Amino acid sequence: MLFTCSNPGHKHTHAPAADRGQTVTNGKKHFTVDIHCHVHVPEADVMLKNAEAADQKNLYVDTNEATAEINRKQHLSIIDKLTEPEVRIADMDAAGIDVQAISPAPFHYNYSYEAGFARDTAHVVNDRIAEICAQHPDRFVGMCTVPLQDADIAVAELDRCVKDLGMRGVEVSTNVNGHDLTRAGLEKFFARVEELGVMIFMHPIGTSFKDRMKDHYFRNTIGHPLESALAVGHLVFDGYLETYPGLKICIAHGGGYVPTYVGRFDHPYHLRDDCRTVISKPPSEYVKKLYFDTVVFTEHQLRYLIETWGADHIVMGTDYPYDMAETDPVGHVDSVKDLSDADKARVMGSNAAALLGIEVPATR
Amino acid sequence: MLFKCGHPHTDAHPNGHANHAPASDAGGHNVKIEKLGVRTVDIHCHLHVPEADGLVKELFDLENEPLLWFANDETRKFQMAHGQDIMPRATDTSLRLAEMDATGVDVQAISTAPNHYCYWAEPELGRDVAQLVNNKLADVVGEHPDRFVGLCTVPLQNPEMAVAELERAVKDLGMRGVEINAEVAGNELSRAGLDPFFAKCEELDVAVFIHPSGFSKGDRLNDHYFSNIIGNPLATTVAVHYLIFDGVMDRHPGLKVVLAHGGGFLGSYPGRIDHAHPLRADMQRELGADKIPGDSLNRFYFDSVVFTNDQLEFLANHYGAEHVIMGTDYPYDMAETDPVGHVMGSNLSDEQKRAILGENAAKLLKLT
Repeated sequence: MLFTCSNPGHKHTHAPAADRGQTVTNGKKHFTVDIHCHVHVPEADVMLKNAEAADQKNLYVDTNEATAEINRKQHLSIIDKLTEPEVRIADMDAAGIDVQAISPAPFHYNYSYEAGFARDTAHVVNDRIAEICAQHPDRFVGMCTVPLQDADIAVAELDRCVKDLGMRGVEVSTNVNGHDLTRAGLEKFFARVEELGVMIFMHPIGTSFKDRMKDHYFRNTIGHPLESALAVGHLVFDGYLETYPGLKICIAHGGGYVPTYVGRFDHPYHLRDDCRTVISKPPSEYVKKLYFDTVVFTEHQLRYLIETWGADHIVMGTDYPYDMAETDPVGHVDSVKDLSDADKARVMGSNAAALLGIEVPATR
Repeated sequence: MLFKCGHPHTDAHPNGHANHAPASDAGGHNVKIEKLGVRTVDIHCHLHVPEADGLVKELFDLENEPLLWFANDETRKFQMAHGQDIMPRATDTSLRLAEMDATGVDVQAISTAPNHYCYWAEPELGRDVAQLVNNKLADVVGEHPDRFVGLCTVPLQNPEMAVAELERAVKDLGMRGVEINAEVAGNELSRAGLDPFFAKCEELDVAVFIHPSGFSKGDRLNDHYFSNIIGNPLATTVAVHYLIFDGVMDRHPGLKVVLAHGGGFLGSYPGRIDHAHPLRADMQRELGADKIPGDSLNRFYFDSVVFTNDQLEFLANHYGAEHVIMGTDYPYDMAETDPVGHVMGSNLSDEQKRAILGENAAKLLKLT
């Protein structure tokens, strides 16, 4: 059995999903999309070996040696899943996933390298993702990476990926070398994303608040939801969601810390000038424009997200193929108490299909 | 009208924001506030002691105050004015009592204003500040023993002195708990030699109230008051992670810890650590593979200062209502101004509401 819930702490007791095409809940078949899954491109790593050293302090992968070792071993043990579409498809079939919206492994961002070089690595990564999608157009759609350290180059690569390669979205990190996305000179990038109508998938890598995160894998378990909170905070309070109302942004890991903790954003809005220097509405009015994936591991937190933000803003994901992935995404959504079949269909696939321009098969 | 919701709580809110009505404006007394017959307790409210400021005035350094250090000029200016604005309510017991009456709070468990922690100071000075603050807290409690109980402060920069002051405050002054910051001047609570302190808290069976004062590494929190609205829940989150994963909760099974602001981010985001821990040896060094981090998290208590019904309901349903305790953050602008109304307006059973409004606190703080 490929997929088991390896975690005794899991509260949801969902059964493993059936084979592809058999994703059935209450007798209904649902079209399923995984919006959060990564592809690694070893050719891009090879390029790094010959590159001018990046500014290490901006890589945000600082950990103790135990974590570094586990991550090295993990990478080797899952390399086939990360690189080989056939292995991936078998796992998708076992988990009941019809389509993966594949995005680059976050290690390919390369924002801390020279921009021209990062454009070259992005090219290689994006071309490979496009190739996988072209080989299996019914199973994959692609999201690209762009060198955010240079807005002009980022826009050019985005254009190429969307117009020439048919990408449906762009994956971005939560900061650019420690600068928040709203303060990295990226106005023209966000404007172009809006114009092209593609989705932004926001996925962190480590955290710039790294000094207190070296042990116990806190870099990930705290760092990732924290980074998303910092990014969402800046997108909201710096007015980007007001300036670019057409942006479609999906935040990984259930949106990080903000979606389940939004009261503290709204409370001071009416009380403090320093909380409304830019925006004209309460912060949650902007947060509700965002989309959040389902990678929160428990039934109760997923239900809380759905009840708070609506089933039309929650999108199924996994974080495949890392150990921090949900291994039974369909079962997880299916386990949510009192969730209607229509809402299950939204969360499992039709929200993602709408965001990414995927045609839902007519046979469903 | 003393207490008006400072923000339009009653706005149609898409996210299940508390829709509770503000407390009555009938002059503060004889107000009929529905609270299910429970003696209501506010576990999160602060007292300011100006004399303690005097002790450290010459040494004040913005860099020791993350809430202000990682803040733009506008926020710093706002905070200065806000501090002066609230000073009467932070110091004057009669004002405090009137507001408690107006909002239906029967008992406040008063704790020090976080700026009195002074963990950055030389231990002797820290101890002197703590003693002064604790004596003042005890005075206020002594004047109105039916309306107040005290949570003391201790100089965590020196574990021995912290233990000594805790003993004095509990045994001599009758304190029911101790309020501590989420870190010790940049060091983790789990890495500051505090096992004797935590053991003493267990032995004396007093509650530990963790209340952050910003986040010490918050260089991206300068604007929009992020130093508080992200920094505070983050500081609590990091502290609780260390208490769990460095094994403090495991070594001190009798420790009763109340977390401010609904437990910070972690309280409403508990799934990630339970997923990761069994899969990764790097997370099992102190908390063994046979343990579940969520079991430790479930032992904490969470105050109700989360502002929305959704989140309050999540906390009560996930951790059990017996682990949620009403609070306000009085007298700051980040306070819930209608704490009873918030609880009463949530979609919880009367039994759950009674527990949150006062029964849990009465048990934890040994109210007679």
